[in-house]
Amino acid sequence: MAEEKVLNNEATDCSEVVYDDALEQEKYQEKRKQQMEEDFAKPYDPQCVLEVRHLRKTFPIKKTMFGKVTKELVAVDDISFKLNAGETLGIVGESGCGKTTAGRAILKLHQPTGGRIIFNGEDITDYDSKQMRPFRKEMQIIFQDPYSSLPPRSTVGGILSEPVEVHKIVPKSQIKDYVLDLMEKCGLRDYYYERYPHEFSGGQRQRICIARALAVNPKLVICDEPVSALDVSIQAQIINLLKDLQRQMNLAYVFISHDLSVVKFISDKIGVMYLGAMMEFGTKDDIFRNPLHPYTKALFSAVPNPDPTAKMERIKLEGDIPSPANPPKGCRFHTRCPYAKEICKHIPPEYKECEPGHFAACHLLNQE
Amino acid sequence: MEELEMKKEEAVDAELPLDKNVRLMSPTRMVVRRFFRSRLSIIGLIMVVSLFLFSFVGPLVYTQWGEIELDESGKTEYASSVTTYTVDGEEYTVRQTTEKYLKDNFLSAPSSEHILGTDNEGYDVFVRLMYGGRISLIVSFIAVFLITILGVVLGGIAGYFGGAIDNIIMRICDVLMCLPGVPILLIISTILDASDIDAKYRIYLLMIYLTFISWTGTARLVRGQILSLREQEYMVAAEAMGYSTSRKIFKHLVPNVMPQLIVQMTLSLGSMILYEATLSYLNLGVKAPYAAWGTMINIISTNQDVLQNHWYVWVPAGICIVIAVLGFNFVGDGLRDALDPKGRR
Repeated sequence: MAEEKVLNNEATDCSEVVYDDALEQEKYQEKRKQQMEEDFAKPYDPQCVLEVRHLRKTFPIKKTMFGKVTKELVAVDDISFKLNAGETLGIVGESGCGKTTAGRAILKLHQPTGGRIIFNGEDITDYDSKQMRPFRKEMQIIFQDPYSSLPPRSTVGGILSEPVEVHKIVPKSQIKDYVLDLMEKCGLRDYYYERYPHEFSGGQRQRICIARALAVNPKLVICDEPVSALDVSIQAQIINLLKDLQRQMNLAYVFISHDLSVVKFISDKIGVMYLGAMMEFGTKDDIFRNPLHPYTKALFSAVPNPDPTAKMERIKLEGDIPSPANPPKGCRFHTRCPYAKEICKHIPPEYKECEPGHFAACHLLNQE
Repeated sequence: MEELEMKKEEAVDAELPLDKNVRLMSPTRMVVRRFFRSRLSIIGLIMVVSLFLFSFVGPLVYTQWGEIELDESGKTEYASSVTTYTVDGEEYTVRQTTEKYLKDNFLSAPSSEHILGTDNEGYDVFVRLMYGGRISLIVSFIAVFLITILGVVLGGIAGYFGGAIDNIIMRICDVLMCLPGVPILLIISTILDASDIDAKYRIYLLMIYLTFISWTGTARLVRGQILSLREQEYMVAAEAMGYSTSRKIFKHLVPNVMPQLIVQMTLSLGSMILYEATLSYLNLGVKAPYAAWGTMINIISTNQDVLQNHWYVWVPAGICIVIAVLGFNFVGDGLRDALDPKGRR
């Protein structure tokens, strides 16, 4: 009893607050668990094409002999957002921050470790591959590398009619007309039908990939850095094509990219990811006019400004992105944050709504 | 002004058929073209095709002699000896010629009757070459076919499903690769000798054993290929399309393994022919009176006279083996170069 008192005195005497990491972690986890339970219980919004609640994906990196996981890599940690039909969500972040994993987990190409994926008012998180089959034609993906994402031994016609045939989109006799129509929509000439992927350039291949994704009339398309492998003039063509198609077919896009200018052009909402977690989320205007999180600010300051007279205030981030296998304690950005304080090193910040529809996770925002 | 616009339109239209006229080349056609561009592969193909014609069509056309039909036209063998001895100081020389009438016309030199002569038993060498070719080709084709099926199925399963299944199959491969092939072959051959199995079928049994120990190479090849293909993005796309597992394996993976597989098959055809010849030569495979290239050469191991004086009994069989193995290897090499997309066009 006496000892405890002494300890307490010591703690209060200190000018700096001393944090008990383990305790804080426990508190944080409990709070998060509570939050999750609350969120999971909420009714589904029938208007949303896609709703993601606290998505989490981990990969085992160390196993005991009996297959028990002793160490895991958290690729995606707690992502939540809603996406309506006809909208585009841009996800930006550095290489290796889990953007691609998040995209694939949404499509259940990786089985999520935690969280809920609600597609069109139906929770598809625990569906197996057979149950997923009807949903496959509702959600599609476009890949970054147009060279490896087309099978080399089938013709363009074959590539595009296969999904139509498998999902029975149109009767068999009309497949060819349907595919030719689709090719025209995507800016491909009709005589490409008999050609092989190796005969095309990167931009044309990406058009084929887009056509394949749209062949099944999806509602949602995950664009996994679709223009990163293309040169700039082709990028513009592809982005415009994507926008046109979105308007025509009322598509919802999740647009993953590390190129801020592209994201700014195409997105309605933007999520900024760092080390697997969402740092900031809001509408395009919110994020670009009023970035709240220091990481977002740093990202924007790295975008080159075409005006040579403009004074650039470049926020330089020190060091590399930490390994997701052992992320830093507290705020995961504190190791590189220019404004990091003592509290950031120990307590993970809360992801909360700072303005209506504008979320961010940073301690500095609480104090102001 | 209007005219100018018209011209512009025409120009655009004119561009279309030009682009359309660019010749379409499917990957398969490109491979065929590249294959026939290489002289060696054409030579190989000619060798293989003519061997096929020789051994399968040949016996139908040239029906003068059968495989185990002895030439019983008889043969007279003369043996002469000169003996000199002295009686009472005078030298006598006795020249003696023995005339021996034999039932079989053996070791007769090439003639119009026997294109390549007859061997030491009196069988027609030319006809036996054809039948030997039949055995060699049939046996090696069966073996390679079985090896490929086993290899593709097991390697495919291992590569596609991975994990524990992969581990089990690959360990079986390791074990099979550790087995010493030839000693076990000798044991099996002895067992076959002891049991009364028709001499005609023992080679098939031996080749089945060979299949059993040699599918591992193909399985490893297929597994490796599928492992790398599985990570390609178009397989992820197939997954995202919700295709069934069998569709993914047979429509997306197997066609992409085919090139390597075809090369592997052709090359192993050559080595199987060699294996068969070796077995027959060692008197483990096809046994007399049935003909195989190996057994035909085997004659010289017991008969010095044939080796020295009757080349036509054993040299043609050797040439046939060389042609077969070289032919298959040339074709295999040509296919490999033709199928390599990074190769020169």
